[in-house]
Amino acid sequence: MMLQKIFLMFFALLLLAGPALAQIEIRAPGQQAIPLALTRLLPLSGQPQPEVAAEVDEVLTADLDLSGLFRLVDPAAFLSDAGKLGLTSTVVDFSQWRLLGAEAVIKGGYSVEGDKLTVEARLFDVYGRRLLTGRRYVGKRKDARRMAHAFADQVMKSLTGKEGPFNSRIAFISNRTGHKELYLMEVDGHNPVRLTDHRSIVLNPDFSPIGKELIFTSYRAGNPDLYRKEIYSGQEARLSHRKGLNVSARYRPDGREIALTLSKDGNSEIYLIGTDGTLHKRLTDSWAIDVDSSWSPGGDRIAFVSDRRGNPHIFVLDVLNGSVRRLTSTGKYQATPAWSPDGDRIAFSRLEEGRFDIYTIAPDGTDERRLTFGPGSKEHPRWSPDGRFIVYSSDVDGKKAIYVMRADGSGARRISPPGGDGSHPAWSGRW
Amino acid sequence: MRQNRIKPPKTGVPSEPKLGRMVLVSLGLHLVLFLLFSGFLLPRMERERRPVYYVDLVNLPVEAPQAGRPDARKEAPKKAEKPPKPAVAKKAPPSAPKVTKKPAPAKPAPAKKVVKKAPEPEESYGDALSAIEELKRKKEIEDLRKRIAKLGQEDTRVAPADAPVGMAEGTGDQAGSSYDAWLHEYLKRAWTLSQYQVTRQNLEVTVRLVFDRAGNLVDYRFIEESGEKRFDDSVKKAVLQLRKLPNPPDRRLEIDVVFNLKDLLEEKR
Repeated sequence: MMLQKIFLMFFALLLLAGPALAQIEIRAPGQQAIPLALTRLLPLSGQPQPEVAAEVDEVLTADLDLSGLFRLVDPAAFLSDAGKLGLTSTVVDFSQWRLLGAEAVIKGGYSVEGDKLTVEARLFDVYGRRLLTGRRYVGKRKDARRMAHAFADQVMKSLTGKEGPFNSRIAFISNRTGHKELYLMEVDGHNPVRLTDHRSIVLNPDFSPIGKELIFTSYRAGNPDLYRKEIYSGQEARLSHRKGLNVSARYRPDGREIALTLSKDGNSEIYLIGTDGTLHKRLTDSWAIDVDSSWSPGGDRIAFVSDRRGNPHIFVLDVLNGSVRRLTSTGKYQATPAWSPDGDRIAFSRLEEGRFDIYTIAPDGTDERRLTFGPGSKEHPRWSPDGRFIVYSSDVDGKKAIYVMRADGSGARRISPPGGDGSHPAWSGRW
Repeated sequence: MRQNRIKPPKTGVPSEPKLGRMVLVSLGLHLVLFLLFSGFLLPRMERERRPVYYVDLVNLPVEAPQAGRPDARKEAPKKAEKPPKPAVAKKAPPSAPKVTKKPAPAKPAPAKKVVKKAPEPEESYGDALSAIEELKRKKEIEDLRKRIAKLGQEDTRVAPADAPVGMAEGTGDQAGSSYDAWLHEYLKRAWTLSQYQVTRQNLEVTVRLVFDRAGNLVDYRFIEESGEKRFDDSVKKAVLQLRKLPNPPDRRLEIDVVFNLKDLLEEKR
């Protein structure tokens, strides 16, 4: 009897196990870029102005290409639907786009009345046959580029959940007038505007996280002092003019304080000052040189460069308890750390074989990755507000210029306009 | 009542275990083995199974694939039939007169030009040379176009012509790939996801696909979700492109498909 029970239990177990299901594993997507069809805007009403459509098309193409998200379908292959104004999903002939292998399509229209420009743009999901996002922009004729950047940001948001950084600004230093002055340009390098006329040396700009203003160091008064400038009003004030260095200033992420290097007591140390210039706190106390501070997104830690252990290395300072931890251990000369907005990486430049290259490292000192290779020095990395891109300066073409690349080092391209050297870029927040 | 038992004399040789005990021990051992290999005891033990699929979607899936290559050409003998095709080329002669005809209507015009250009014989000689060059160039371009068109029609698959269509491990007698391999290839091609769309790459989704006897996708459900909506949505999009199998399996087909980014992670390392 006992034996029978055991056999019965055994067979019951076997039955419970059931037939094994077939399983297959797909270890990577077949297409790692979204096939996107970007059609040219069509006139909504009034006189057609093809240059408006061409301008929007050019900006959108460049932005979406830089994103690395898309493979743009060749416009030469477009069928009749590209010539039809379809702003609703019921009007778009999705089967045509599917035939071309597109998974998403951008369509839109524009109208110009005097100096008033209206742009309507839509992003459709070809397989889902539905509208993903749509925007209507109204502005002046000269705002066409801005509208295109703004829609590129929306496309990114729709497909990744995080808005793009294209409708923001990049500040940089250029000597095109013969003096190093502060400039502001769009993220693709268009419309550069000079912000200072110090006829001296201007360095190291940083955007305020809460207002449209910048801080920077200038030798205007003979000493490297810290200045603040409101971008739209043009108002400027000297914020810190203590004896010696007033350099490498960075706004705390809440915008209420500034970390900067001062050498008022002889040695260069990192201090915390208020936005009115009053001294709040000394953060480092070492015989060595402490410079190039960069805030963590939480505002509780600062990455900085110090030669306290011999060669210049990156260290991380806990602002609350003052403890300092060494971050980099390899390499002989590290400079200009920049903490990513997500907080998961710190970019920096390292001097090796006579030239700088850009690296990133996790804040715990692990997972160091080299992002740039080849000839030329790449320096001063700064993150885009969404953490997708890094802007930096490079002299790969002989002259220093501003470049931008994806956070993994791919897609590098020059953005600063020709004429003069470009260096010390800083990327604004949402504009 | 007490019964007196007679104890067996001690011989030094251990007595043989009883059948029930042996079955118990055997069952115990089988159970241990079952638990070990089913992963209950070692759930985190990675079993790196990386099958290599190379399926040409032209070759339809079959129930019992024969031994062979899934990417082989199905009808190798057709190649032999191709040579007669030059018969089509014979049609060329009718088109040839067309070429000769074309210059005919143009004749009056050159005549006028020749008259005009008579005072400059050197130039006309140069013109003739450049015209010949132009003709040569046009011919070369035409030849190139023909070659490209021919290449476009050719079957460029790398498998040897004499390899039968089947699977490397196939034991059946049908020419075609297995349903697993076909589905793998189809879903991989249909799956679009950019690495810039997801915040991390250690994502994995398991979807159970159910096909009826006619090959229609009658049900799909996520057995395991990744926790990242964009990743799950991309998988769903790929699955929904597959409405029906090209060949009915003649049985209800259930299959679990695991989607992950392991190859992308490996590329980065």
